[in-house]
Amino acid sequence: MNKSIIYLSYFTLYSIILLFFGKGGFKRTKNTRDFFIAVNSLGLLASIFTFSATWFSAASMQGLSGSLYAYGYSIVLYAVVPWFIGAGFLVILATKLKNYDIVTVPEYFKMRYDSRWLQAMGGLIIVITYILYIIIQVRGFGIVISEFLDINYTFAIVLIYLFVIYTTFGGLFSVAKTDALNFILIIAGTMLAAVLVLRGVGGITLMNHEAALINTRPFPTFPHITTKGALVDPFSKGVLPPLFIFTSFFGWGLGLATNPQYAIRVTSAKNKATAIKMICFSVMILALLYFGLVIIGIGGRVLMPSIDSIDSVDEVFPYLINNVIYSPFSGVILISIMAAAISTANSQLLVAASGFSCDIYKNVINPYIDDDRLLSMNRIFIFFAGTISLVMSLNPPDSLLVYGGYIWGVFSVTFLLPLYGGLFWRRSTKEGAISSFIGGLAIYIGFIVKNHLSSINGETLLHPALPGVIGATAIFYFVSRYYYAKKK
Amino acid sequence: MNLDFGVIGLPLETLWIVGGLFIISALTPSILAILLKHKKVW
Repeated sequence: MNKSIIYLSYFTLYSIILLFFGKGGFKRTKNTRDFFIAVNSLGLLASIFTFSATWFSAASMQGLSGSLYAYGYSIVLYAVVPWFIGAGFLVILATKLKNYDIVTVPEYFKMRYDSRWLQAMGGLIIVITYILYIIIQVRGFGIVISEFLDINYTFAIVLIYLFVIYTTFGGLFSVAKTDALNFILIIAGTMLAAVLVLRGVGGITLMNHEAALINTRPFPTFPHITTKGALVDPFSKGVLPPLFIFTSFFGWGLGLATNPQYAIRVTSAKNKATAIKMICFSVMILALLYFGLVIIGIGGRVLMPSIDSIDSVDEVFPYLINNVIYSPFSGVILISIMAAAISTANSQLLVAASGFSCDIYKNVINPYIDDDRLLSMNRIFIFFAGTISLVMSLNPPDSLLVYGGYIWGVFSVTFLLPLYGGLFWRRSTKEGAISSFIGGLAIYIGFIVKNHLSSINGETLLHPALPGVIGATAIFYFVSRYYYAKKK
Repeated sequence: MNLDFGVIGLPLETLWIVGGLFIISALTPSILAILLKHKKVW
């Protein structure tokens, strides 16, 4: 049977099941608390599914596997290790944050610092950052669908737009239900692909031996030719220097530790123990999935040392499935990549909507708006934000993984100190929180511009989140100390 | 070129740095949770 017809059958079946799963949330959602945090009712299993599915995005599935293909094992240090350490911070966060009855993270800023402007600033950062991040999911989905169903990229990204808008309209109940389905598909697809690759390369030991001998350019537009041994070197023989890899923690790791899409999963869990167990178990399951992606990326490179027909790392995984490890079950892998993109995008759109409606509109513009109108406004915003992301995805970034690290860095430099400082340091003040928020962001943007002007081939030695976080910490500490003493 | 291959065909340096950090970081949330539970934080 024709490949496209097989893929279309899988795609149609997935679409029908997703529509069925998603509709349940519409009936259960009565107010904004239902919509954003499912009235703090999610049990352990539902929490693990929604936390893990939100985490495992197109940046993981395509960005990570493709970057492993191009750079080798160093990518584990660049992205995965910082993510997991960031999850450790979330455990510490959960012990305190769960004591607050909040719908959004910036709402905590208002409670702790008595500043509605800090809440509004938090909301604005959430709206902008998530609209930019959803581009990753839209692009990831677009690449896969256009490769598999042989349709135009623009038409493909309209499809994810419809899926995401539909699942987000039902609020967190819908998102959590579809996340369960999506995460099961992600596990099935990743493991299946890893087994197919492993069978092709003849085992892990042989795969690593072969990988060490590769000295090709992974694809024509990639800036480096891989030298022998670089794929199995912790720093890709200098292509990704240790300083850049370790400073990426300040973007990816601390960005994850402060990211509202995870913090709000802590809030929506039914109690503190559930929230903490959710993080621990999810990270262990995710570790297995990342091990699968390592096999896919490195093993894929052994099976196909160079791919002439692609232009970016994000196209590697779909290419491998369709051309190198094709089997009648490739459709399962196809929908697992789609599931990764959809399950993250709908959660992010939900958080972006909460940033607009609760932190900006209700907080600053119209505090007396009734719940029904606010719920309608959420859905209008979801439509609006989704459309902006769709339009911006027509001209997407070069690498999902690198782009994602820069976006997450925004949370490191703005949310980290007001959030963790407020929870764990009693001397933190409103003035310290606001000035570190603004100062950290200004330093971060300054270093991004500086790196952009001085970099070669778009590569830099230092992740801009490092100076941003150091600056934000210094500002937070000194300003808070000054105002705390003054008030006393 | 001399590549000192260890277990599963990886150079020992890579195995320790990448493999070691991967496992430790994956266990970080659980270790922290157990420590905090022991200190009765939750």
